[in-house]
Amino acid sequence: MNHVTVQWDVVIALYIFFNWCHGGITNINCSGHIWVEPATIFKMGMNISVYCQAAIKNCQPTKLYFYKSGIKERFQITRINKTTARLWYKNFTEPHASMYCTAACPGRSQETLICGEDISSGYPPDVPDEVTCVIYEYSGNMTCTWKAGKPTYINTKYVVYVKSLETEEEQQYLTSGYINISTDSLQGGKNYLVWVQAANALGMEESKHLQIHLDDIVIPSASIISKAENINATVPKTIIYWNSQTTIEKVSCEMRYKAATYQTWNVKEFDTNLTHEQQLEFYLEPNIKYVFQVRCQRTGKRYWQHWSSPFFHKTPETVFQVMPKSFQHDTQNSGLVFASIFKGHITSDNRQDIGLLLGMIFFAVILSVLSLTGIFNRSLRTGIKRRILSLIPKWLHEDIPNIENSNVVKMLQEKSEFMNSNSNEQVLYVDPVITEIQEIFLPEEHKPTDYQKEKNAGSLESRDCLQKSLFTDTTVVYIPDLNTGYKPQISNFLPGGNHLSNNDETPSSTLNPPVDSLDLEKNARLKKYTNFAFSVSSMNLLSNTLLLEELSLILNQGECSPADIQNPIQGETTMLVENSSPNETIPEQTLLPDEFVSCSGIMNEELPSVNSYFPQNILESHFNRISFLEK
Amino acid sequence: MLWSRALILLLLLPWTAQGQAVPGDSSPVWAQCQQLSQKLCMLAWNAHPLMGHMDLLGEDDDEETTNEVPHIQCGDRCDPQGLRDNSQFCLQRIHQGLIFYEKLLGSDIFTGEPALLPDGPVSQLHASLLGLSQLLQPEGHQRETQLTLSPRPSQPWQRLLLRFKILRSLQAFVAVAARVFAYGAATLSP
Repeated sequence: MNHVTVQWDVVIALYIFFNWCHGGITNINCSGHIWVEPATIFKMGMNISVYCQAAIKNCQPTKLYFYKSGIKERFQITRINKTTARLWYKNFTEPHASMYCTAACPGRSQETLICGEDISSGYPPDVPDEVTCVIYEYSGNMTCTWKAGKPTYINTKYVVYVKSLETEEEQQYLTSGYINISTDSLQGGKNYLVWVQAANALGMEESKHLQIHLDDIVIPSASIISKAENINATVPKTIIYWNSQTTIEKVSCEMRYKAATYQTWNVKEFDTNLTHEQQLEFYLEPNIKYVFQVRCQRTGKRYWQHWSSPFFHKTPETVFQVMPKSFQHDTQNSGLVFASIFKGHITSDNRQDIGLLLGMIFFAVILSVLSLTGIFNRSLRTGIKRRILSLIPKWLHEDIPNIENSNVVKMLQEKSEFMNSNSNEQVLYVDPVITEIQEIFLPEEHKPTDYQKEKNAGSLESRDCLQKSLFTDTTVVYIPDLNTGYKPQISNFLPGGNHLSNNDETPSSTLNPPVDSLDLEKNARLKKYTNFAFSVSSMNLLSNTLLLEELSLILNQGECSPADIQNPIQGETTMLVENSSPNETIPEQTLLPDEFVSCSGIMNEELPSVNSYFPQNILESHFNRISFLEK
Repeated sequence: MLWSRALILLLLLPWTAQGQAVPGDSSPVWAQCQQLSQKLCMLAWNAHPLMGHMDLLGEDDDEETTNEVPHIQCGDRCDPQGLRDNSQFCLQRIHQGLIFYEKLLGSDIFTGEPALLPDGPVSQLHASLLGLSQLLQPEGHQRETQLTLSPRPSQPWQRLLLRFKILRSLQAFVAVAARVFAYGAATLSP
């Protein structure tokens, strides 16, 4: 009897202990069943059905609810029978989701949990590609890597198979990525077959078989650039020192270098013996920060070391750039002996550089001689001048440019009788003329038709407009002095935008030049303003009326108000504002969307009082009531 | 037979000690405890809405499971008279509860998928629970905590519901604890 009592005590103690450790607060008890068709892990994009079947004591569910990741689902739910419901998803693409369902029981205020399930969608694995196995010297491992292909989104395992070609022994290594296989475990000789098998819940694929020989896949131990030294010889040079702990005697190496700010590397290839400290000699440009990296491979083999860590070195200010040379340091002879074998392309590149340099020097000398001859030989200078004057257009070298010599102006003269009738009028571009601009009446049909459209134009166009308007304003426009001769054209201020020519058909129709003659219909205004910059005295082609009408049109377009023009700096900012319709809200002025402004809700949930005493279970039931009311 | 009984008593001793023993006469710093417990109240209340729009789920065995978590009850002498007589019983119980919830908040229920914000309310709550439990741990005195082991591994869908249950229970616990410390700071501080 006592024995039974003791055992009972132990059972009770263990029960209490267990419950204390794993209290019910960490348990979920299902009252039914939930399952997914076709499976809980399925191909991404499939249509799936989630079924929920209630088995709750004393409850005939009035309603069944589905939750996905804590969010109640509202649609695509079908009640199959009294205890079962189905939730249907079309084209399910979420990699992971947690589903659970609940039931509403009559007489119960809260939903009752039925059960839950985690579902996953993904893809079957791709065929592992580019299987590579290498042995980093001194690592003691054979490292095998491969390309897994596109993401599978679900748990995918890889099995690496290593089969000895000599003993037929096969080993398997399970991994989720790459694998390190101890070389001690490779006791089946030197030749092996390696392949990788990928598998997950949706499929399995196997790579091609890779045949390896253990000696061929060894990568020499890492190379390290230790220091750089500047030598002040007749031709200053930079020596890069580097070494490796490898025991492999015959290696092929590459050293690449470039100015730190450049993108393109210069690469030197050479064979060497890494048992000694290595030196490479460079003739670099002065006062530039260079970066160097080196890597090696066993001569004739496939796999390279990783590039060494970048080594930065700044050349002194007096160094000149010539071809690089490579040396191997012979410690026993304490001298510099050529030991590295240069590849051909490096030598040929350097020859090209030298040829280019010599050519440049020769050209500079010839040019200097010719220049001196021209300076000191007056007759030669005069001859050259006459020769040049005979070749260039006459109007180009006149003291005062005569616009009549321009081919364009001649063409306009032929095509426009109307212009010719006014061409004799001498227009003086002074302030009173601009006053007349404001008094010109525009016929209704000549007013801009796409004015509203242009008001919505971008700020860049507005800025162009402002510049044009500034140009037309008498206080800003540049009027060349009659005695200063030729002045630069300023037509760049008017790129001949379509918005101008489209607004005014009169000038273009009046001019009406042929389409093939510099496309004047589009560029008529550009041409006029080009002339506008010429000497006023020579402008006997364009009429005052025509010009003023255009200026008036520009002002009447409303794109730029006179106020904008009077203050160019303020005008630009004013233009930006005026571009948008005054009746519309200005998006640029709304720094944050409304939802960002109004979403900062504050939780005003009332905390329970801490003033009076009451047991915790009363408090919990109080919280439960709050939760129910929240629903 | 006596040996067996003695062995059982030896085994049960730590649990008994944890539940019943009074750890010395050292009193906590009531003001600090009050401040930290009120912060815990705020954090527990703020952490709950972040668990998602979940309805409270009633389970068939809810009453059964409720009795398995540490509760502050009338027998724990956390009433004003009990605190005046000997506050150590009540503080011991609060300490047990703090350790219990601190372990839960550090378990995979809260650290596993679906992941919570690293510096979110639950993370702050966890740190504050640890802070208050250390305040109740007199220097050089080891309150018994080894009975609180990690819960069994859970699945992601279960974690959503367990987080909800645990935080709701924790809210009630820290509310009572805060009330105890408020009373202690007002009347029992030296």
